[in-house]
Amino acid sequence: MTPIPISRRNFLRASGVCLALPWLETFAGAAPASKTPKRAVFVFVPNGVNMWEWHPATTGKDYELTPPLKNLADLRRRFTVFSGLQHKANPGHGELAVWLTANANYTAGKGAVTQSTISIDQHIAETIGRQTRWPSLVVGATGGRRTISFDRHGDPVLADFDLKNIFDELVGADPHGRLKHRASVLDLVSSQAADLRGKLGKGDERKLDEYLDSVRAVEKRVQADIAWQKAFQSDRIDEARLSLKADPFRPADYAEYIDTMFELIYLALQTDSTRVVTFATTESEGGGPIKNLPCGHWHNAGHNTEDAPPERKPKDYAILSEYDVWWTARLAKFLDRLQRTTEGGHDLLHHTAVLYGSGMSWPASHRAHNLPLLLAGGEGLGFAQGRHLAFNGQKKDVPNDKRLHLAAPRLGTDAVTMSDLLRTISERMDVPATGFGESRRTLAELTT
Amino acid sequence: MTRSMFAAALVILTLVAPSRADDRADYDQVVKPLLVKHCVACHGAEKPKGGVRFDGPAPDLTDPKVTEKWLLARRMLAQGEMPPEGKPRPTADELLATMSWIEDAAARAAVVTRGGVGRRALRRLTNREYVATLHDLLGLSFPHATGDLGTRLPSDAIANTFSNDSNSQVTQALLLRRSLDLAEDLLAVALPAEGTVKPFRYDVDLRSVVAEKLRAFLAMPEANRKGQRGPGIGNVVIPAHAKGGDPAKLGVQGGPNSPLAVEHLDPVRGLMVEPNPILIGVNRNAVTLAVPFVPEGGVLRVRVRAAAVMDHDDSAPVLRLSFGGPQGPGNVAYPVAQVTVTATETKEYVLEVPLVLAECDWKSFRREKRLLVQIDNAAAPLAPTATPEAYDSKKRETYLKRNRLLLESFCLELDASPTWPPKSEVVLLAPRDGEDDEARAKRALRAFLSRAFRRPVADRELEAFVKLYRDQRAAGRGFLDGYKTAAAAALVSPQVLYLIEPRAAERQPLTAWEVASRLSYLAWNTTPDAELLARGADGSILTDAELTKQLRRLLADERAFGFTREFTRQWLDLDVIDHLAPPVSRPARTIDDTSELAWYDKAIRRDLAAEPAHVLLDALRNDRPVNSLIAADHVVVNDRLARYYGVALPKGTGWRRVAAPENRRGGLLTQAGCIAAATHAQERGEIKRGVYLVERFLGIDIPSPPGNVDIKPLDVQLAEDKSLRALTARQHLDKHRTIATCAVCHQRIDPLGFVWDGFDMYGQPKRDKQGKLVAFDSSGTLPDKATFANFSQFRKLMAQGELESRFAVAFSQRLYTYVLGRSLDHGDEVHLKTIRTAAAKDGGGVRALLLAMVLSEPFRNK
Repeated sequence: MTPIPISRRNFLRASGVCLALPWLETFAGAAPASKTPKRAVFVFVPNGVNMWEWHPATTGKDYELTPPLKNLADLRRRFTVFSGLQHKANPGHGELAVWLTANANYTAGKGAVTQSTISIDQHIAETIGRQTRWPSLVVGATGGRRTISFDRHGDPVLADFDLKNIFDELVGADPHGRLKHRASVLDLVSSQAADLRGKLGKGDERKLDEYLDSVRAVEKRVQADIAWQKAFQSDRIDEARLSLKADPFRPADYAEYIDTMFELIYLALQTDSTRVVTFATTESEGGGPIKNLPCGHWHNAGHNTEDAPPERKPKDYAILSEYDVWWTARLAKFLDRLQRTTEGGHDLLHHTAVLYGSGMSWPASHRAHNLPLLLAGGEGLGFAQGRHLAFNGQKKDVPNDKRLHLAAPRLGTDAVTMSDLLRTISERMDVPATGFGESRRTLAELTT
Repeated sequence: MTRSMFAAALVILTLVAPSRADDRADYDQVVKPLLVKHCVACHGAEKPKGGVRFDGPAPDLTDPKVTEKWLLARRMLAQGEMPPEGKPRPTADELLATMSWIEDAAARAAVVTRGGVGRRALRRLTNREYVATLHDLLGLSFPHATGDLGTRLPSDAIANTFSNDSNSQVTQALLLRRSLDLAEDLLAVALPAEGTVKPFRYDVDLRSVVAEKLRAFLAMPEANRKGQRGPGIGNVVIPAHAKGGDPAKLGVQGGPNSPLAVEHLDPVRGLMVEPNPILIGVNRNAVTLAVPFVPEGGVLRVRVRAAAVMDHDDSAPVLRLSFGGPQGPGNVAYPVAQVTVTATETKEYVLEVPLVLAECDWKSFRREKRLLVQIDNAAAPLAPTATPEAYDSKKRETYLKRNRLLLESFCLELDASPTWPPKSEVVLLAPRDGEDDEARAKRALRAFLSRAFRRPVADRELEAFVKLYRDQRAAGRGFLDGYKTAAAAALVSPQVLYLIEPRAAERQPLTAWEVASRLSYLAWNTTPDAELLARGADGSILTDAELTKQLRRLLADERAFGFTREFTRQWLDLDVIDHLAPPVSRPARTIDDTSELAWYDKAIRRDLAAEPAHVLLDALRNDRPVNSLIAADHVVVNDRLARYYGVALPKGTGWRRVAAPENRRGGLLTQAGCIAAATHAQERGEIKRGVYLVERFLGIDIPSPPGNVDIKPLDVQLAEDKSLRALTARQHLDKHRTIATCAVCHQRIDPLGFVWDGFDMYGQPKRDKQGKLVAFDSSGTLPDKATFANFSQFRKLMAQGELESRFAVAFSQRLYTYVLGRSLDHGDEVHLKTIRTAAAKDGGGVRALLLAMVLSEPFRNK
């Protein structure tokens, strides 16, 4: 008699041999004191910068801080400025979809978003996300589809813009008392399962145990959430200090809104609610919030410069410079907050890598080479900070009549790209990312 | 008889499985010699390497530690890790014999642990079954809603077996949590809390709007109209039906082929809308209604009076409902419901969407303080358009001939709390005179729990749920909230989540309720309906006659498609079709390649993945011979697939049976979906195809390749080493036979890899660049050494022998696994033989086979 073909998996399980532990949900309770968590924060500012001013002239440790970077003077030793990095795609105002995905197929079609690929933050969150309450935090002033995070299927991870909502979720607010009801429900079903145990056969008991284990795990989570709420009720976070009502569409509230969002990100990191954060500050192009400071309209100023030499368009470049300085002031406040919080033998910034930059360089012609980027903190992850690193032989652009600064450099197959930087960050977060985007190597220059 | 010949032929390759009594004898005859020759030298009494010894008597594999050791040994043998390098290797046949013995012994031991032969552990509902159960228990039905609620639960797919295989299912906390979330969300739809639903209604008569705009437009002098193809929509305000409600704003948006062009306006019939491939961006042709607030809950109902304008030989229009976002670039619509419109005379179509279940960017909608409801035409082309002779890129939209959707009028409404007796009396009974809240809750819970548990609820169980209700009331919650909490608890209790079949050490028959449950989940993937429950109550379902009658009734219903869909999807790995990298088909150069081709591609993949399910359903309903699944002169296709295969189909969109073309007479074997799923979009897909056929059509399990050898997929080898291109595919594959550890499996796989040599990776006949058919050689050998010279001989060999043919035997094993909800063990062989004999007596059809399985002993006993 020929044997019935038995699948190789089936008898493994049926015989009770466990060759791999099933995935169990874990959540933030008491984090093991031995390991300080590693964190990554990605802050995206659209529309490019005043490229005549942004990049430093010399490389290495002793470069001179340019005007927008002067806001970060106190943190000089703790961040690295990059020159010469870019993505293969030149997406124009579709820059949000390319910045963290390195999606080479992206075109600058207005409106239509072509099929995307996973962004580096979601790639990291897929692995480390289960260690915290939230796998990742995705926020932005415009929010919704104006996001820089894309999941494995290429769908955008909708960004939250509602400050009050983020705060409520952070403190575990439960206005309808759903948690208590859920606890009673779980109590009842586990007693039902316990009653059934005697009536079923031996093999079934193992299955019912799986069910009971699941119920207990969900119960533990509910209890942890209730405890979390109680902890926050004891004024650990002063809600009044946060301007949760700031409206990003009112110019007077711009700074408050961004600062509050950064504060919420800080709180999420400090409470270990998450270890991966993306902040798509606002949408690209002309519409949306945070585009209209008193000095002038951001998008219009960018186009008005026509990417000409600075002496030809002083007023428009001055407007761009004001925006750049405004944004780095917001960043400086956030980094300062991280620096002032002690953790382990260092500070919170020591174990948090913060990538800040834009998906565009020259605003008028929507160039995307030599992107303005900087990486702060994360020394605990292995980053050596405090320098200006220029890749692919990039030199600071000099004003000229032939618009040489707009020519994207011809790069060979061994060129360094922004994908390499993203991959390095991921690998420093202990998540391998070989071949991410067009990455060919990690940036050893950053980690020596 | 063919069966014993087949068995005899296999003796060379596999061990003839001994009866239990000969287990030890076999060990001594087959396994011990190999151990003595190759293993005991290092793994013997003196200083055993790794602490592992193989010099003992026949092992008892009921001990998990012993099993672990032997399974590891088996794996190391298969992957060539043992014997280590430098030592003499056993031959492929010796290896196979020993590995088979280990597998067999482990399987037998596993069965003992499980409680005996033919028994199964507790079976949990699959995601699809659970979602359907929730809907039926709560009396909810949204037939047109797109969006699969099953995606809210973590995937329940299990490698190499069906998701209903109780022996392999694992329950995790995340599943429980999400199930509870889903149950609560659906309860909120069935029993909305008072005050959460604000009713509203808007009626839009597009005919009068069209008549007015057209009149105004045509009244304008010719000179003023220059360049405009039709009137603009202007400012059309739709008043609310209720007094004092805020008015909504009607909009019509369109791309180059705007719906407001004169040729799309008919003052008598309404507005005609061209199809849209995309859902993002402003260039959609759609009718929109901007509701000036965002509803919080309830079921939105949209009644549309529409018709199909079938001017061209192309697909019928599809009426799609979406919720949109803010205007401007990046404008995104989230589809929530759709229905195909085939009738050419105007009819009413009703689309219902529970708002809490619609996956949209609700946060952004609330920020905008309005909900944009869009109606458009989502029909995908039947086939990409060929380039005409005189192609003028400026006039390209005139070449894309599609059928339009005619919209006469529509009404958007949201009801308040349901009136009594509502659909939801299914969940909560109406109050009786003089009855207090708790008595009503108890009465309602008794009815609800009895339906949910699929058998009358015990008093003790009922009391526990009533206590929960009572405690909720004591904590200050209202009647409805308290009741809903108890109902939510019921929906995640083990009695609902699992098929509970209390059993003793001795084997015994199932109760009538349990049979009704098994039958319902088999044929309809959902909880038993009223009639099945009644047959369970009176016990008649235990009789052969009634069981037969009920099976026939269930199969005749349209819900039986769910059964064939689930079975074929997993058996033939059809989910993978959606993820294959290049476009599925790229015929002659097309206009507007990017969107039209992408749109067509999605639609054709969906149809290809559904085709096997339709064929199987047709075979079941009409009791066609089992072998007709692989040797048929007909295909079951819809209009798009008919175009794909090049067969003529009478007008209409449904799936129908037509004569097969010459090269598609292999049933499932010649379906493009199966071939594409098998080939996995690889240029040199022979090995993948071979594995697919061997595993899924011949029922032989093939282990994964060893991990310690540097193996590259054939395509990668071709890309790296150009000299390999000089070899034919057959020569390329020959390398496998030279290495014993590879040959073990590959001598069975490779010879089948060329069966589909005449088809490319998309399941279409292979053609060269000019479009001429390419010569091919589909000869090969079956694992039992029978040879065939071409595809039709292969088909004949597979189908030879009626219900004892190679295909029928493998198919019945697969189907029985699915029917029983557990993997098969050696005790089932005898039952399968009985089943096949009974089916043969009953005509040898697929339905007869299924019936015999349902009437078999393992299905009706526990």
